[in-house]
Amino acid sequence: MDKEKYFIRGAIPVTIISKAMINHKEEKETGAYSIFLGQVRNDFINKKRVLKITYSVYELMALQEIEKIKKKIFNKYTDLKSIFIRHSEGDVASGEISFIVLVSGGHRIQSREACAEIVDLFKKDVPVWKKEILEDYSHNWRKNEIL
Amino acid sequence: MKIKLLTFGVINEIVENKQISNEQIKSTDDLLIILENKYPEIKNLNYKISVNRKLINGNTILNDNDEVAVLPPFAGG
Repeated sequence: MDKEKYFIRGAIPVTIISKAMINHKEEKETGAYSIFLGQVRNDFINKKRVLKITYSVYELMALQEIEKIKKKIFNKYTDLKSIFIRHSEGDVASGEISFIVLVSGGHRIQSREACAEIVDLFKKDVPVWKKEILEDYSHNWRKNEIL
Repeated sequence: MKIKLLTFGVINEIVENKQISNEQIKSTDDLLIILENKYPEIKNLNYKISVNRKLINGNTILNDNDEVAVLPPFAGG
């Protein structure tokens, strides 16, 4: 089987969700989907607006860490049917989507807890960095806040 | 010892040399001493080290052609 491509150059088109849903059509034992969408915020940094984020990825390690997360989550949430993850690399303008986690499961509780946990583990364990490009084209290396 | 050095994020803006050949390097601590001497700015930064894509805790012996990465805090999502 081909390796799944988790990283997409630039913003993630939201049509990717409908394509993923079409691929789930035959999953009749699924009763619940949970989804997380991460969007680039136009924050103010030192009184300057964030225009876009440039994501960089240590790809080989990132793929390995995503596989570890999926394995851990499938072991913990036995009601889960599938996990779909996509993240941007390169430039994503504010207001655009940079991260998608879509989970399907038999029932809602496991599917929503699993989705939330994947998002948290991804932010903690997957080697991705974000450079915020500000309106004067200076930049700021963002650290993930725990919110 | 020949090491493939990878740097990311803010550290990638500081460290230029990506291939390091130095007979004195036997471990990650040896490598860090050389890097911090050459690029003193990184002493004030928070980072972790991976060897062959595994995060290390403490000093680690290196072998020829190992891939060592200097990783500032992750910020995905």
